Amino acid sequence: MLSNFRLSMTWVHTWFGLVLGFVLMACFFFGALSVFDREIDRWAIPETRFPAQPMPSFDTVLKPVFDKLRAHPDDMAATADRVIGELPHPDTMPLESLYAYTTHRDPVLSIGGEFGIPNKPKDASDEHQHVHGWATIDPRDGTVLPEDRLKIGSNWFYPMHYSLQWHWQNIGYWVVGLAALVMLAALVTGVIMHRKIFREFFTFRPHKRTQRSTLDLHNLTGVVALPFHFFFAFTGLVIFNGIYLPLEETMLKPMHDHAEVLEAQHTGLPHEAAEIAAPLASVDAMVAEAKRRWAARDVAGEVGLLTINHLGDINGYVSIYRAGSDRVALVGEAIHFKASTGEVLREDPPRSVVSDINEFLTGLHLQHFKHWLLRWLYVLGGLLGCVCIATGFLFFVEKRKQQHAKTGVQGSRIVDALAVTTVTGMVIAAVAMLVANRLLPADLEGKGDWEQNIFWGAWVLALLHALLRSAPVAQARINPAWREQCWMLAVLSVTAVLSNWTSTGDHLVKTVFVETYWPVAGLDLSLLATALLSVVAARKLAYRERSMSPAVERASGTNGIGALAGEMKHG
Amino acid sequence: MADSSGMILVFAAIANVAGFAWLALAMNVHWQQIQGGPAPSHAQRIALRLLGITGLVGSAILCFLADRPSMAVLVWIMLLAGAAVLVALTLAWRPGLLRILWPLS
Amino acid sequence: MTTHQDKRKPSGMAIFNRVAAALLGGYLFTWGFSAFSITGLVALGVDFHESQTAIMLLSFLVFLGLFLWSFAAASLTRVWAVLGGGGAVMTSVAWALQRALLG
Repeated sequence: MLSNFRLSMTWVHTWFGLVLGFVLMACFFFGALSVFDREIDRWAIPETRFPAQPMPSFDTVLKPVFDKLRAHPDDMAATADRVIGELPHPDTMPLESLYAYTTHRDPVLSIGGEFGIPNKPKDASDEHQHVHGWATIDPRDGTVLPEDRLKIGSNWFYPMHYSLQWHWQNIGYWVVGLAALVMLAALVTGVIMHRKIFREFFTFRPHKRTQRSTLDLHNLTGVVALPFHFFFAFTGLVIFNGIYLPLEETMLKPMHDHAEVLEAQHTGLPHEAAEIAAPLASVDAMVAEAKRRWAARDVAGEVGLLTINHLGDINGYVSIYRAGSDRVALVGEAIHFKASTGEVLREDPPRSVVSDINEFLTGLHLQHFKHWLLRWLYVLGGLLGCVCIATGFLFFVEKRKQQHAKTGVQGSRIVDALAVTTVTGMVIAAVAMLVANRLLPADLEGKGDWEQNIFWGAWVLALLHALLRSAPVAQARINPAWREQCWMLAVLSVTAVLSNWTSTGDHLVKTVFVETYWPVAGLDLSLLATALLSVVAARKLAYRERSMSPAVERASGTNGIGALAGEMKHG
Repeated sequence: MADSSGMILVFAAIANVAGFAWLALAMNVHWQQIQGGPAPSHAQRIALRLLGITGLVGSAILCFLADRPSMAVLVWIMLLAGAAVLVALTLAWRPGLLRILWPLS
Repeated sequence: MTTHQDKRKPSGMAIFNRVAAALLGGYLFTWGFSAFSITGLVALGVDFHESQTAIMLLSFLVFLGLFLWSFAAASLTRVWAVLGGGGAVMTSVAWALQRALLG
């Protein structure tokens, strides 16, 4: 586009990176939090602070729970819009398929199922003839847990990182997908722009002027974690290929449907119900047999996912999937049983090379494995991504703000305010949500909605604050909002830890030493680390602001403002 | 990660950091930051590079001993990122600490 | 764009056209490439899901390459010709091939 290749690539890096960088910050930050989504859930829902549980007995614990499970009112309403005529009463709908899902980090169990309805769909091509029901239960006794508790980790932060919680027409997914493509492009163009990847591999010069040191940090965090950045952006796209390139649901649907039928014949697992009623044999016996077969293959043998299809029909079958705790590739190696007799219908065969590669790539992103060191290293990778993007913004501002100050252009001022919003503002929103979770009464009607509104409200306030305080940037100085939001974040983080203590009695001495419970202790400690880092950052910023104030500037002459700031910080 | 492999992974992390620190020492600019003197001699540079590569390869071997291969690859690559950042930040703020890895001069 | 190569800053319209070509043209080409490759592999006897999985791993890298090329290329007309034309041709061939295979 520009006169030479390098300039064109620099243009792509700068402008796409700037525009989509704000989205990428959210992806990387909330992605980093999602590594510990289940642990954040425990912190936010104190009733579930007990050790992780294996899949409970189906025959004694789960069966009575599924007997009581009903279609969810939300899905009743959604389905009523799609079908002709009135839906039957939930009590009369037969449960036709079910699932129970857990991981090695879950004390609670997610269950759900599909209920059959006689209604015809309004749209003939709409094949979905079910209403869904779901619940979270305590697997120790089958108690259904209250549904209005928002799982802040796995139902708020986690979807935030791939959908931005912007669900209309899946637009959030598309924005994130574009951001992921831009991340890949930014990495490639970054390598093209960076002339000294190896010579400056370890280079970080915090005492040089800001423009230099932010670029050092941008390069350092981009280069050392390059494989992480590349593969997480890439596998994110691969995981949602069904949304981004929906070939098999649209253009290639005839071929896809044809292949499905062939596959059903090949696997021997019935594609359709036979409409002949049949009882359900002991599922516990099937689980025992599945575990025996996994043990014979010398692989870890906990059940991760249990499904029953065509429940109550002679064609019904039970599929038992292994929890993927010991390797990267996803849940699998299922063993399928005939539901009415318990005989083995099929064992999933070894996968092909292509499918192995695919499962490795998606598995490394979705991380079902049990490996605490690797989890923390992923958090580090996500935060390095945030530092890389944030220093990109700062470099953009630093490079232009002197020029903009002379010519009266507001560009760097606005970019800087948006950077404040996506760096400190985003963390403030997340921590404010946690504080709200602990301070709002547990029985408050719609508590989860309140928490979400406080999350967005805090973020919008951070944006307004950053914009209102941004005037100094137009004079090539520092926006005080950076420092003020750092203090705010420190206060909020400490408040979160204290309010967790006062509302549940779980203080750090207890969760670390007395009754060790790392999910809660880990989040409390991370919050304290955030507070500490914020205080250090706020003090350094105050130092720099003072050193760059007009009085000091006059005293030291007109040039070398940045150098002076660097010296002050050094000293 | 079996509990017994925890110790192996600690050593893998240490080997990784040491490996990168030696590779940094083999570079003029960082050698001067740490040792203060002139550039390392040719022989010193070769020795440092060999030590550095040994550290990183050793770290990889330890990762493979601790976990299944597919997992070990990820752990090693992520350790590389963490170790490189640690070495870079140490060079920036406390370069003297790295002298223990080359106390000879 | 080709006539203004000496200028440092491209005009707003030129930027808009280039971005549209990179994103829409790139998407269209990637779509055609994926549909054509999957049906092609199936025609060669590869299992449908197997080819779908393999091509999905490739297609995002193809998109990445096209996206960057769209900005590196000198002529915007050529970018549109390759991406739009190539995408349309491959999509049509894939369509015909699917009909022939299931026929």
